[in-house]
Amino acid sequence: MKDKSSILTGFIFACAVFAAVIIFMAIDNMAFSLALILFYALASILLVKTGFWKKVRNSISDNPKKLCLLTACFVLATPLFFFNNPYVLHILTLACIYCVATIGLNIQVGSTGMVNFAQGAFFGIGAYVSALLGGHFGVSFWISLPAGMLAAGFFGLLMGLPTLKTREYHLSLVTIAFAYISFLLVMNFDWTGGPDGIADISKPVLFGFKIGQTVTVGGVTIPGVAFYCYMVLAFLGIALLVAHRLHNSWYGMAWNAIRDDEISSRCYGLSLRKSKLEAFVFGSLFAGAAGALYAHFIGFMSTENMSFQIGLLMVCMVILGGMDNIAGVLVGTLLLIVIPEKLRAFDDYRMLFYGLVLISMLLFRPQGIIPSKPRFFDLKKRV
Amino acid sequence: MSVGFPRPTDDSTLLVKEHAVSLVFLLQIKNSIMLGAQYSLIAIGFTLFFGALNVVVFCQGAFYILATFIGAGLLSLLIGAGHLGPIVFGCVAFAIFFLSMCLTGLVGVLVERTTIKPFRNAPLVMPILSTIGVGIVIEQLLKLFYPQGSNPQVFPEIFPLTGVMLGDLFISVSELVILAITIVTLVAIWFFIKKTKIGSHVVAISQDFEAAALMGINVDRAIMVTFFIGACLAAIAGFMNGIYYTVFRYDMGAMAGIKGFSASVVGGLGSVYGAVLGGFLMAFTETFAAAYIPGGSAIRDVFSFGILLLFLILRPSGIIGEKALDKV
Repeated sequence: MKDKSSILTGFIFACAVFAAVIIFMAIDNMAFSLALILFYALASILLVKTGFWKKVRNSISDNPKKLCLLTACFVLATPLFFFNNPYVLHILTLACIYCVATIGLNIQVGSTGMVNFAQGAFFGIGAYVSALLGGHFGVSFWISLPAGMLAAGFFGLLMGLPTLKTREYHLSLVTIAFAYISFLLVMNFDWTGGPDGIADISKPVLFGFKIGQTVTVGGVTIPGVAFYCYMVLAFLGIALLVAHRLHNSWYGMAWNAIRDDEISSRCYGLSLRKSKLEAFVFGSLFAGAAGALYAHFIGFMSTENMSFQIGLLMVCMVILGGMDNIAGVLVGTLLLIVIPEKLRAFDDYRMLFYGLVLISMLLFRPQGIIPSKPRFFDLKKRV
Repeated sequence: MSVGFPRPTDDSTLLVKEHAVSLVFLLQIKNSIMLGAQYSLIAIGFTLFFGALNVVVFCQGAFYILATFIGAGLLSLLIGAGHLGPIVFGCVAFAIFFLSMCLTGLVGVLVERTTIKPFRNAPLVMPILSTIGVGIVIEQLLKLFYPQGSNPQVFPEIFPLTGVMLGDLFISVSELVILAITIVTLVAIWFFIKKTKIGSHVVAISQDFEAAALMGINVDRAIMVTFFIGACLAAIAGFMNGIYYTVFRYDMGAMAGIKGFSASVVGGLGSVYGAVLGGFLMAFTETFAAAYIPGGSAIRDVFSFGILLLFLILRPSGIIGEKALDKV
């Protein structure tokens, strides 16, 4: 029996990461943020080399509940620091929205091993359905968001059907074809606004309060973005919970089994058809929710935000963070959204940066920043 | 009806209309052949790579556009150099094409060495992603470091603007050249695969990698040659695109690559003849749908991808492909 490692290591680590994130987000100077990125990269390499990272991991896995609570507190506290800086809040909200979509993509790419490049399309379907319902029929956000999710899930099922006979390359090709087809159709329909997109998408209203309006309480001005940020954080929390439960359920088991060996999992009585379709539907539901959140956040939706490139970017995020690891996917998404925003002057080089990140991660660290742990079964605890 | 003009008899309108219809039809056939030639060459590249290594090289489209950029850049330098006699000019232009083709082939070999070889025993997902990454990098490098790379580029006019009339159909010199290049390339590929020793090595490793290695075939060399030739084919398709449409942009490669891959899947991945058939099938579908379906030209790609999806559902092995068995 191994001793439980102390919670202290994890606590110190969480505090350090929190401080690092706050400092990084608060800095406005580009040269300084570049230096900081290098410093953080060096620090994390040092962390791994000195073996401190292993202690942190043990500490986290031994005290998951307390540390999760601590992290949640930190995350909820982060927007408080930036009430005077709505731009930072904007980036954070955007990153959280993308997190919801990439968590869904992780089900397909990470857990099931099906590389899906159409997550951008599902993101767009969710956004368009939600925005059109709100714009044309005056449907409230709280109904149009689930409608967008369902539409994305339905199209996920539709795309899943032709992929059942295919594997690896052919499967990726189906998703690429689907991404292009949906992009072109939305671009050329009249009722979607075509290349002009949809403007003036209304902000959600909760109990008579419009999420996204600026409020002044006792001399402190709270920007509207902060409210939206908290709402997205709530959705992200739900998404994390659902994804975590799915991962630890028979669904997650089945997906991993299919990824590792299709034939033997079929021999053990798994229905490939059912499991794969479930992976597509669940993943697209997440993407649909993210799309609806995005459309109502920005207030404008065009085909640019559902192109093949967006799907590709999401795949990069999952690879960078670590396939089949929810925490890793969060880290990867945050990095790929926040770093290019911080280095705005190099905006032209953004796609080049993504491409280089993708190649170098695959070559030097294919398991991602935070690799997924092998499943561990404790029969007594019934994990 | 207009009043002042003599009303043409019904017969003659019918005749004119029929005439116009048949001319449009012939034009579409010409366009399809021009497009199909490009798709086929790209698709043959995909098929060769897949046969040799069981990988799909998603950066084939990047080779295609890279070659167009190199060729166009060198040609405009040549044109800027001053007036040369037509024969000298032709020889130098041909040399430039050959040079940029070889350069692209070398880039293909380099890509294989750096981003495909390390994943030879890795999950099949890895080379898909790494080659997509390479595609992005090549495309972005062209965009950022070629002079005014983000704007559409004009491919220099190198062929005279005359042509021949085939009935009512005008066929320009450049179109004839494209046709000739296609036929020569297809014959050369056939010759390479069937008649040369290294070609038989490529066929051998595509049939059984390990057995071929055990028989003393230099597997690495055969793969290198395969990648060189595959990238060269993409380069030739790129030149054809430049000659035919005269305008190109850094982001045209991705679509061409995906179309070429689709064509090779429709034809049957691993079969060279299938790739040619698939390429022409996709091109004909696309061109005719754009011409004859109202509003079809904006969504022409939807039709070609529709054909692809149809094939993947009904006949995933493609037109000529053999039914793949699950390997345990």
